[in-house]
Amino acid sequence: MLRIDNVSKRFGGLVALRNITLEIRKGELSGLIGPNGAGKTTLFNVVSGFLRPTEGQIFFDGKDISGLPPHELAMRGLVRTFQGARVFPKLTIRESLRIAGHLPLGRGARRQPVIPDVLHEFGFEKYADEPAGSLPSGVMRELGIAMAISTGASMLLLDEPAAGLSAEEVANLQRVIRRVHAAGVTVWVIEHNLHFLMGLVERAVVVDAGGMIADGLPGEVTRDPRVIEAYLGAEAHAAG
Amino acid sequence: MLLDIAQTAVDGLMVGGLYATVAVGVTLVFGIMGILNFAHGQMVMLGAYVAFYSVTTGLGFWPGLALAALSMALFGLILERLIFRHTLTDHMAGLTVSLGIIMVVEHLASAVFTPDHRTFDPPLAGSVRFAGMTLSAQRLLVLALVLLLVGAFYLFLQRTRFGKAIRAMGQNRTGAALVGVQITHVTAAVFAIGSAMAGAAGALYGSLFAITPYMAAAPLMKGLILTVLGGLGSVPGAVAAGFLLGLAESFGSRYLSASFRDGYGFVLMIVALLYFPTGLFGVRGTARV
Amino acid sequence: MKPIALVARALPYVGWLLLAALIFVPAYGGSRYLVYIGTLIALQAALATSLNLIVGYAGQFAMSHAAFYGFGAYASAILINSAGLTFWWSIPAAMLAAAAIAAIIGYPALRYTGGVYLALITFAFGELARLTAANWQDVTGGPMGMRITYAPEALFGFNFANSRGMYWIAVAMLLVTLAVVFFIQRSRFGRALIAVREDEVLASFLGIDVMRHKMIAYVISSALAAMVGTLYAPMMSFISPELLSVHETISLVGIVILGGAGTLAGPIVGTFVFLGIPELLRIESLYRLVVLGVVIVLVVLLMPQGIVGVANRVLKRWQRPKPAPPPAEAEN
Repeated sequence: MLRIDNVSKRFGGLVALRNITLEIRKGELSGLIGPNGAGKTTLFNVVSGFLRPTEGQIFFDGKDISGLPPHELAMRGLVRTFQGARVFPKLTIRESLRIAGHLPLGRGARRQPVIPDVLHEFGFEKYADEPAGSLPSGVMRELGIAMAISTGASMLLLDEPAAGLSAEEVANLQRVIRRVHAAGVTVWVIEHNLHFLMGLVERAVVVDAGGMIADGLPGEVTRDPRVIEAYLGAEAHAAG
Repeated sequence: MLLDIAQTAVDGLMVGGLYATVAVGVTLVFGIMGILNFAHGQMVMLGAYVAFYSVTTGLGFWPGLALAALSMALFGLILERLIFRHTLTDHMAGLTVSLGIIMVVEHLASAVFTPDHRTFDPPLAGSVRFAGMTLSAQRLLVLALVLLLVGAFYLFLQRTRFGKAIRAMGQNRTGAALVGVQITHVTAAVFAIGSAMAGAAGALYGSLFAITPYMAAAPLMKGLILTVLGGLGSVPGAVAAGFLLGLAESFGSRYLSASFRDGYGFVLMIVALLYFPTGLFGVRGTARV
Repeated sequence: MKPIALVARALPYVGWLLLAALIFVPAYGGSRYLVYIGTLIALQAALATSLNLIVGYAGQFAMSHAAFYGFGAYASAILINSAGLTFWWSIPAAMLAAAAIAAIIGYPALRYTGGVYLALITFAFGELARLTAANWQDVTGGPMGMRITYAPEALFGFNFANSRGMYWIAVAMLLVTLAVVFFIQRSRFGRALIAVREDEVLASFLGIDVMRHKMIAYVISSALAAMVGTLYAPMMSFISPELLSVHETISLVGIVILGGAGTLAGPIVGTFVFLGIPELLRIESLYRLVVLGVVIVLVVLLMPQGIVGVANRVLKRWQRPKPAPPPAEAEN
């Protein structure tokens, strides 16, 4: 569904991504992990059209999408969320979801959302007319995902959805992600927190220092000595 | 012919220096506070009136120049404390309140000072003959003074501790706060300094041209144009662009059309925005000092 | 439902009915003076409503509105005097020309986020337009302006050439502008504009072509300003480059903010407060502008939603059957 072909990204002399090649298959629920500064977010930024790759190509549904602007990608069904909770703080949930329905509501819409009534399905009714900025942060993250779904997305890129949430909120969020996946959306989640991912995804891609160092079942990946080194090394640096 | 060109160039530099004096204030305030203060030109106008009343009440031009700078610094401090401090994070709000301030200051000035054109006698009269050119002595004095002002200002930014704090803030507000820069003090000081420069520019402007309550539009426009040309937030950029614009206008009105004088800058600015959106000195496209 | 909720629901309709009633006052019972003021208010309200589209809904700070207004006046006068167009045909012609210019100006100005570039370019364009009007003697009559001797022709047997006829044109222009904004506000396009205003980046990731939406809003808003300008010329029988001055735009921005940016009724309320009340009380225009300046600053600092924005919030609170539970606090 998503094929990343030998993608590199440099900022001046700094190499942020080095020859990344991988494929995410239709219907997968996979994770992207790595220590801080490994290039996870840069990779998402390149794939989601926020940054243009310096080298290499990205294919979505078999078509070259490298360098296309975000709204074109959304039109093709590839939508991302942002670290933390990026919502329209002054607009209510109802208004936000209608805005997110921009594409499916348009003439000649290519796709409809896999979950037609997110407001009900995600249990937003009691908050529906509250401004999004005043919601609890767990609900805000769920709203971010709900908005992405409402665009009619066939693949979601979730950028650290669980950061800073309480245990209960994390459990809710995992349920929401599973629900979305079960409805047929391909999901790729960045997460720094391994525990969150391990219980959720069926495959994990690991990056460190801009390169891909492992790719496989979550259980196997965490036993990979290079992954352990990358994480422990990073923690040792952080501690020192 | 050559003489004519030289004379036109000196005229251009003189006017350009005045523009630069206005523009450094605009660009600095934008670079530090993210506020595009459209009311900056009103300070030029008020500064000119301060100088006018100083000269006509017999206080003299030099105290008038100092008073213009000081009173505008104070006015700037008051505006910052009462208004702009509260719109820091919001471009739109900053712009809008500056429009409101323009309306208040301009129309009050027109009520108090009357809309009549005013002029005062400059400290230097007569002209200087130099290498075959006839140059007005006052124009030369103004050129020397603006060079001094802009130069001193630049040295202040580069050399003093406070100037370094200002530059640090222009690059990274949060970072500067972390290393102990007192954000609120620096912000207030930047506003005051920028306003003082505008006040001084006004006094100098008034020694050459007629003063009216509605004169602010021209220096403001020039200041804004330069701010864009020089790269939003770049002080050296604003200065360089100031002289460039002065020369462009001077040559444009001498050899093309004088009545379109104020239009050349806008043409320059629109072209610049089309092809060099980050300005002459704004290489990275972020606000710099 | 509690009576207060009923009142809250009914109030907006009462407001619109009141406006509808006000429209007929100058037409039937009014003196010449009232007709004149009515025309002025209708034109100003139409202008503010069209500016609200780009400033209030799309959140883009365009400072060229008066320039397009003046452009409309000049373009239609020149087309009528030199090209022999009728007044009615000069309206779409001026609007089309304004739309084309807005597209050319808008493209470089709207590529960047943050609004500052748009403010600067549109400001420069406005001043350039004013200078052109002041300097192009042969066509515009230069700084002394242009006498207007034509009047709108009769249409469908209705005489528009007198002041009452022009009043109806002004009202029609206000209604057209309101209708455009009303339908945009209700449309998919309008919701996308609001998304752009609230967060451009997020909007683009939800599939909204930000640049295109901003451009269309700017073009429509500018073309509507030109439309209003076409009537200004025969109504005042005189146009001058001052019409294009940035000060006009500043007052318009003030009116929109005061009334409530991004609300349908805001610009109309703002116009009544700014123009109607002081005119009826005969307050000198100089002080009116000083007061408007103070009010702009206060509104931005203290109630950025404007009069209508605040009123809407109060009405919404009254409409609720019981007080809403206090919103839970965000954790980070």
